[in-house]
Amino acid sequence: MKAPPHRIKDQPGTRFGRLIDRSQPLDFRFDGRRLTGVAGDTVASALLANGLKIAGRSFKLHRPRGTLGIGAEEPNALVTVEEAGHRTPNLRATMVSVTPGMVVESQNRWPSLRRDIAGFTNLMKPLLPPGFYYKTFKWPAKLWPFYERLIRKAGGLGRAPATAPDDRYEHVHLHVDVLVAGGGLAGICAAEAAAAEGLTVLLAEETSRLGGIADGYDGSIDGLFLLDWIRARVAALAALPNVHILTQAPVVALHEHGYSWLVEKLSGPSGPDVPRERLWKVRARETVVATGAHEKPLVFPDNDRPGIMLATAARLNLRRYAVAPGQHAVVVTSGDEGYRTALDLNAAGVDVELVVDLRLRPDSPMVDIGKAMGLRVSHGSAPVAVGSIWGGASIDSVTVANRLVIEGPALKREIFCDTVLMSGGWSPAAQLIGNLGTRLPFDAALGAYRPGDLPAGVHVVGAANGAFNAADVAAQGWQAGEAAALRLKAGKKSPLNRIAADIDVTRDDPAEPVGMLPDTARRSEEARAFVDFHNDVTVGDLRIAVREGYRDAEHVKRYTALGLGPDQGKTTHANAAVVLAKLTGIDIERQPHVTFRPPWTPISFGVIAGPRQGRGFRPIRRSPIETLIAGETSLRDSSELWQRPSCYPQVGEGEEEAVRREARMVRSNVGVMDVSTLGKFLMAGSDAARFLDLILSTDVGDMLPGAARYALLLDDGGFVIDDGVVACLAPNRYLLTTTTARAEKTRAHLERWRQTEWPGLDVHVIDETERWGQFLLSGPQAREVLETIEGGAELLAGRSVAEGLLANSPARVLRTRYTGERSFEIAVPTGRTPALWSLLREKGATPFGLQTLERLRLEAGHIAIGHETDGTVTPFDLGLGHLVSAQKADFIGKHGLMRADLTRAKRKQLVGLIPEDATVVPAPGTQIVETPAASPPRRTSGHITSSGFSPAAGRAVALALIANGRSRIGKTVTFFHAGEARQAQVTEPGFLKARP
Amino acid sequence: MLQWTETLDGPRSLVTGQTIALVTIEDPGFIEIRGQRSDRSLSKAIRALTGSPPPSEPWSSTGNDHLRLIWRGPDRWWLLLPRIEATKVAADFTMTCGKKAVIAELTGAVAALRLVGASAPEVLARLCPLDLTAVAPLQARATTLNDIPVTLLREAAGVVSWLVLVPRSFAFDVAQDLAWAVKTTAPLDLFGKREPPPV
Repeated sequence: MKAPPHRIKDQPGTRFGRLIDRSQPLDFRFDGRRLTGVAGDTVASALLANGLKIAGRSFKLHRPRGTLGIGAEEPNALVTVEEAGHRTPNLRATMVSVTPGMVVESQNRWPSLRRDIAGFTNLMKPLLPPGFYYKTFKWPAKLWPFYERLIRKAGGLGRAPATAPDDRYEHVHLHVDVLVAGGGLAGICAAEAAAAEGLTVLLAEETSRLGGIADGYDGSIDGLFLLDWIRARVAALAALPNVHILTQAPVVALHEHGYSWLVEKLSGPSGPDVPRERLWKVRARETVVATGAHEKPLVFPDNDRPGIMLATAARLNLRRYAVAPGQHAVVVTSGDEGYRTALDLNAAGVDVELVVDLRLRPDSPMVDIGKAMGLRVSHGSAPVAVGSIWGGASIDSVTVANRLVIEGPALKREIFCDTVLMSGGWSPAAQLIGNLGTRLPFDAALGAYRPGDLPAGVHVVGAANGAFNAADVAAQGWQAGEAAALRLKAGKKSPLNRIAADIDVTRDDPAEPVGMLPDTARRSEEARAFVDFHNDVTVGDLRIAVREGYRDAEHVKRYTALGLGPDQGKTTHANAAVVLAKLTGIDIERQPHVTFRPPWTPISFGVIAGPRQGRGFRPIRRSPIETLIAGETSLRDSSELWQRPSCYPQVGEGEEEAVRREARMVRSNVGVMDVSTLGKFLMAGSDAARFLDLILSTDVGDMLPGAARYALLLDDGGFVIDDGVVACLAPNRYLLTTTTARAEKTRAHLERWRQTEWPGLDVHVIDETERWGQFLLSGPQAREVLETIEGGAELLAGRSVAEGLLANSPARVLRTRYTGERSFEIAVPTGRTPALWSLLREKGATPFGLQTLERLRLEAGHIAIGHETDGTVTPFDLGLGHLVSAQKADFIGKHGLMRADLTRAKRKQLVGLIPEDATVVPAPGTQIVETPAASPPRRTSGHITSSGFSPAAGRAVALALIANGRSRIGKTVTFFHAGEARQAQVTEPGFLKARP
Repeated sequence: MLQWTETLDGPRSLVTGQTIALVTIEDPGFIEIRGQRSDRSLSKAIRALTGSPPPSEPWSSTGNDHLRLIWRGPDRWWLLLPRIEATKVAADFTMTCGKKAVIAELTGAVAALRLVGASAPEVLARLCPLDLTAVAPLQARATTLNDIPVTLLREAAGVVSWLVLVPRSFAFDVAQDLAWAVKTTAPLDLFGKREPPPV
């Protein structure tokens, strides 16, 4: 097989191509073109190996871009990948392994990557400054919908799949002593030290391999080559029973109290029983952040051209994939890192035309080694221009100049090359600790943000902590593991198992932090010097933002889109800080960074949702008779997590027809409704009555066994929050029923007051909601039906509530009149409700649903919580003042009711409304209008709370809350319906007397 | 007589794997006891029924193969027993426990499933935020399964078996979620023997 242009020849025994297997070529497609990679390649390395320098187009200006980095920090090479039936956009080509038959597409271009029509946008750059969308597309205003469509079409990167994939995602919970985020040298050492103390350790690595970028370095530990030593340590860790290692599982969020999220991408095909991704919800007592660092790009004119790459990324491409970035390279470096890359390129047969060292007088072992190996080096120089062919598709030269003085031909030098590799030093990748609200101070010597004070239980080590030499990295890792163990074993006397090693890796001099190059750049140069590659933000853009008054990093971020791309500013923040400090004149150490929010790297919506998708989106609470009625009706009303039947339409019936039919049956015969969802609370104890007297506005203390009363719950302010029935079952034993929607809240309300305000009362609250299934039997024939069931007559003998046996089953029967008809709530243990439902149906009871119940109670003029109440309504407003005790010394809401605003005249009061047009049903929420003839806004005096067509009255009816409502009974009010003013007569609530 | 319909109808064994079985069991008899442990009448009545005083250690349980009494709060215990006996036991208990205690039969309020096998912790890890390693044999915990409130009881030592008590109205969803977790074929293999990952 002929080697692709940039794949260096196989050199056995060298350090190049360690991850690839040249004997396994893999064919894949890129933008319709068949390419060949090899086993082990990433899409990025395979594209480079095939000589494809352009990997994408930038977001705003559609500039051609090549691969910049080696991992998650990659801002340019975003692709859409289709494999095994899945299409996933916006993946970093540096993080996707090539598989046979894979189809890869570049993004944000049309019709092709090389000839993108939107590339003209780059020519319009002066017209597209930061915030241009706040300044342009304003005129003429009527064209804005057209502009908006264009802008939306131009926005975005990859396209989402047209059909939702049938993938499965899961969540997994794990508790460990120590979570180590990052599987590089520091993380491995931290895990090792913690595990040696017997702690349970989870070591989580973002990529598929441990070791981080250690393979980019030479040196030895304990006499072993660096990588061999790491392999041995990893093998030892994997064999420990208290260590669990995850790969392809980055920690994406750190939350308080040691709670973290990791997202694991599972290998292999997914399926109905195999998840595609897994969200780990980890609770760790100690957390070690060992997430490494990102190499900083250098900021100079046209630093975004294809062929310009980070120096360490280029070196790792050589070592891992045997891919050279070009044939003629210039390395620009502000530290020793660039020399390593230059030496590797040299060894690989690439011409290193020049090493441009920004430092004036560097003096370090790497510099000495470089010069000894014959590298040509220029000190105190900087790149000032880049030459390119194809209108920017590829570079062919770089101009460098002395940093101190750049004018004059003698001081500038153009060097012909096809690749520029840049290293601006390292920026700790410690953004995870920012999730905890921790601010990282700016380290001027490093030229980057670096962790300072940390919350208890969190440790940051290695390059993430600003340590870049292997000896320091390993030492910090071990120390963190030991520190975690000390904290967790505080008070226990066993000595720590100290770990150390003999580490021999060349120590670098620190890189010099630099901002924009050249140091005295012109405005035209600033306009082409990119700080944020993904969102096309240049030094010139930052200058414009500062000039327009945006000086704080958060404001600049939002105004310019700096750091808002999928790379989340990983290669941006440090350089931006230096540039902004110079532009604003604000001391960089007083300029905090933007808030680092999770997730650390983009994650799918699917994994966030996990099992809560499709059928599993929300749990459903099922009535005990659900399997009996499921086939009878699909019309449901949601109430909390219950799905209650709205009605039971017969063949050919719509919902309204069914409701009217059911309501007529209840009024003329007997109907049955499943009300098992109502809250049911048993209150027992010698102070049960006293407790209820304090909880309810209604008098309870005088109730005898067998008595039941309609009752109201008020909040502290005196407003109605729930209603129900209180029944005395026996001395010191009461039942309180509540609405379905408020059952959980009322239970919490009862317990809160019992436990925190009146803990001395001898009363227990026992939730019986799930113990009893319950039916509402309602209608003129209800009693007769009940009496035909064994035990029914006894349960109906003279009391409002009775307990006994019904058809040999324990039962309770409660009398009510909520529908306006004689009604009984019959409760039996839930396991017996299916049998009772069937029995009642056999005896002729017509099933009816929630909408029918609503219609019946509307006709009866009875309130429904949540319709006639909205948190601002008192019992007196509702005409239920008789339910407020006049003699109790205290109850919840008593003092609230005394407030002047709740006793003033002209409060809204509940009344009935009969529209003049019998067919017009005004919707709930419709306003009562006092000045219908006036232009809007019109003065209003109330609103409609419930409405519907009354089968009993043969016309539309409604309830409303109207200011001074009761004094307006007999008068007419106005509301608007379908744009027309309509009249309605005000009546007492309740319309059964009006039935013909 | 109104027949009892089990909450989770259908086959007793919902799903099985090589190292796991999820089974439904009959709706248990369920009695809630409220009172003070220092109440002698109550303590005596409980000892007469279970053979032991009421458990005082949070989340501990006492009992035998036939019934189990679980601590649910400083003044609260759950008694699980065969459903057929629950009503009589509750009635007898009310007579003997003294005036201060409150006995409420709640049979039907919870449904029960059992997760048995070495993979049970792995199945639960997919649904439950609890640190299962902190639950000793014959201890219980109130927690959630896929955000649904449940009570888990770790059953006898020597066998990996967890009893899942779920409010009846949520039982169908919990059974489906557990079955789904059991059927997942991508093992977690937590802290198990594995090949070291590549470097």
